[in-house]
Amino acid sequence: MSIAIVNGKLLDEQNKINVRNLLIQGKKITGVGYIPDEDEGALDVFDVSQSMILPSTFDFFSMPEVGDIVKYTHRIQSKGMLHLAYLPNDASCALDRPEDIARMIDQLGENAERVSFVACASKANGPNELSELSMLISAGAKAIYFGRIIENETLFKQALTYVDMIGVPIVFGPMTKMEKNGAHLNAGATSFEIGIRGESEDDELSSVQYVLSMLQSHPNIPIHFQSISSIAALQLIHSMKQHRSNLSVGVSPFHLVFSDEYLSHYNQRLKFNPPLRSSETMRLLRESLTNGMVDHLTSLHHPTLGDSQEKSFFDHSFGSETIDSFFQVVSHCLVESQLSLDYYHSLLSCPQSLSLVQPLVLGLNSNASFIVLKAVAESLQSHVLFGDIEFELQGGVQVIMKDGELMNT
Amino acid sequence: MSKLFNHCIGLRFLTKESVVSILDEAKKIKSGDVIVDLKNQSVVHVFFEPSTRTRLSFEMATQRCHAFPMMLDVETSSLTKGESLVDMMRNIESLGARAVVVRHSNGGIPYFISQQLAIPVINAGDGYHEHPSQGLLDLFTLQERLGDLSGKHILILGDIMHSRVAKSNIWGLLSMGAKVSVAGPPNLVPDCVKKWGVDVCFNLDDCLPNVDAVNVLRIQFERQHGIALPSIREYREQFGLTQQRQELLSDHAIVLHPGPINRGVELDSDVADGKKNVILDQVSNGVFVRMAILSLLMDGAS
Repeated sequence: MSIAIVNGKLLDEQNKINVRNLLIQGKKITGVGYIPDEDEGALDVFDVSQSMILPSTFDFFSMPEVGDIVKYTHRIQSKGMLHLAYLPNDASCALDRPEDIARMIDQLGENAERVSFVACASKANGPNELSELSMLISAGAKAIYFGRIIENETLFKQALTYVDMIGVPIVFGPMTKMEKNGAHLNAGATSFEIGIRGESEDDELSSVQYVLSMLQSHPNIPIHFQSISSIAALQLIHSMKQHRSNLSVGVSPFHLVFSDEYLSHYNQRLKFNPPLRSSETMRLLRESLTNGMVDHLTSLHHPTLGDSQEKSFFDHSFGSETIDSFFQVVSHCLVESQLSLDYYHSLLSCPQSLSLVQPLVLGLNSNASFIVLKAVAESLQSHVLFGDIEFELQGGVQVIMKDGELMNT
Repeated sequence: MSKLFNHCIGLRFLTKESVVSILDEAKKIKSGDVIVDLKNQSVVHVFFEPSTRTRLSFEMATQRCHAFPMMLDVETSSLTKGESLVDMMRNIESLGARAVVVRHSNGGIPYFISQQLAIPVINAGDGYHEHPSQGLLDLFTLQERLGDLSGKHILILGDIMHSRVAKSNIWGLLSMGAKVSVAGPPNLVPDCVKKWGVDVCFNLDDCLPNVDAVNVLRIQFERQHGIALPSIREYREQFGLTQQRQELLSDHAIVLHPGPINRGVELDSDVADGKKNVILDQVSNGVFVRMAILSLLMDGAS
């Protein structure tokens, strides 16, 4: 049985959005534009009007245990995240050894071309000792990750100088010091109400200011802030883009729909780093989507690590499985903000400054792997997110296809 | 009769009806109109944080309810062997405990335990979150002295930011219709209380003549985490309830303190031991209120 995806919008070779029909046979796209009449009876036809076909949806994904890489890659890709960048995670694993990177690339086999490894700048993601940066890149890492802010200025300068010399991009993780400061959520009314210490938005701004000041003498390093959660920090980065074109910033869509008020009953599944902010910040972040301040929507995804036994909010580690909700929430944010379909593409693709993956164009004989995101404003539907939160969302996922196989419709 | 509430985690989780039912039950217990008989059921007390009066008060309340208090020594418990909190609490439930009293230094732990167990969980204070039995005994004492709390003006004075007692008082007083003000150093009084309908006062001398009661909080040096007070002397100068300031209170106004008192800091000895203080009444009322909580959660009244 062949599959026809009709009336979907997608990016062509000239970076223009066109309405196209795709015929898929086996793992490949065998027809673009024209669907032969005689095949109709033998076709599964999916009309995806008012939807965007995204061939290279991209996710930053925290590191599971090394042995789980292949399994997780398969799982995440089956949810429509076709390209992944694995980042170190101080909760489980630090990508700080060249031999580990080489081994994981080997384990991934043919999947490796869709997966990028971003190596850890410091040993064990700690503040004191740099990793062997050039060897990590030689082993196959595509960028360097700063998971925590190196407060030792001399060491930070040394790291930046070295990265500059190697000529690779930097991804900065959350601009918070939550674990160091013993904070578990945003500082504000909710942290006071539930009696657990929070970290303020001002702290994120201070960290971004510090990092940007350190980067001033390294204008050629492409920089991506993976996940920013406060409006002042986002504005600061945006203003820096006037002087630096190789700067980009990601925001999690969950920060656009959930505020810290959702934590008033200690919902462990929403214990994120950076933390969910106030409802006013949430509103302003959503507005920032429409004025071009956000370059990438990051899933903020963490796999379930170790024993899955429930822990209290206080004892629970940061991060949760967001992958099942990600595209529904993204679609909702984009529909609600009335963004054009081409914007979907830019917000879900790898930030251009990073160039971690080759941009894909769906054409004849290309691999039939993509996700189709609906942009239908009137379809407000109730969804259960994170297992127990009922939420009304617009738009959503219409089709997920991987290697010519429908994973979800 | 179905229970109005299944756990006692915080006053923010309790309806006014539930709060009133606890206060009424405590009043009946104190007057001898009700005798509580929990028929030797076991109540396990798990204190992860030091406590003197709350621990003894719960122990006494359990005994006077004809229940059997079992004190878990956390330092020699299976937690030290790596057992998880959930597993330990489930084991306690399986051993036959009919209620658990928990104190913990982290906010939300009693709430979390209540989600895991089928038996009632009573919060004996969790981090910065709440201290519901203290809040209820304060309401009880205030009601005993001032009558109906609706429209009464209560000032909570001190480190509001780090006080679980302050929050339990705020939620309880608001649900009873009282007017609530808070006073303290600006860095220890979160602005967000205003959105709950609480007034914020930074000039104590202006505020004191207008209140019916002052609940003075202990300055919690152990919870400051870098929020420094310029000095204890300056705190006392600005926000200590001194003998001189006590004179500003109206004749009928009373002074509460949840203890332990830092004498000469938030409260002068002349005030702590003076005519307006009801501090020891709070302590004795605490037993009746805790008996009422156990009784209502474990269906023990007769």
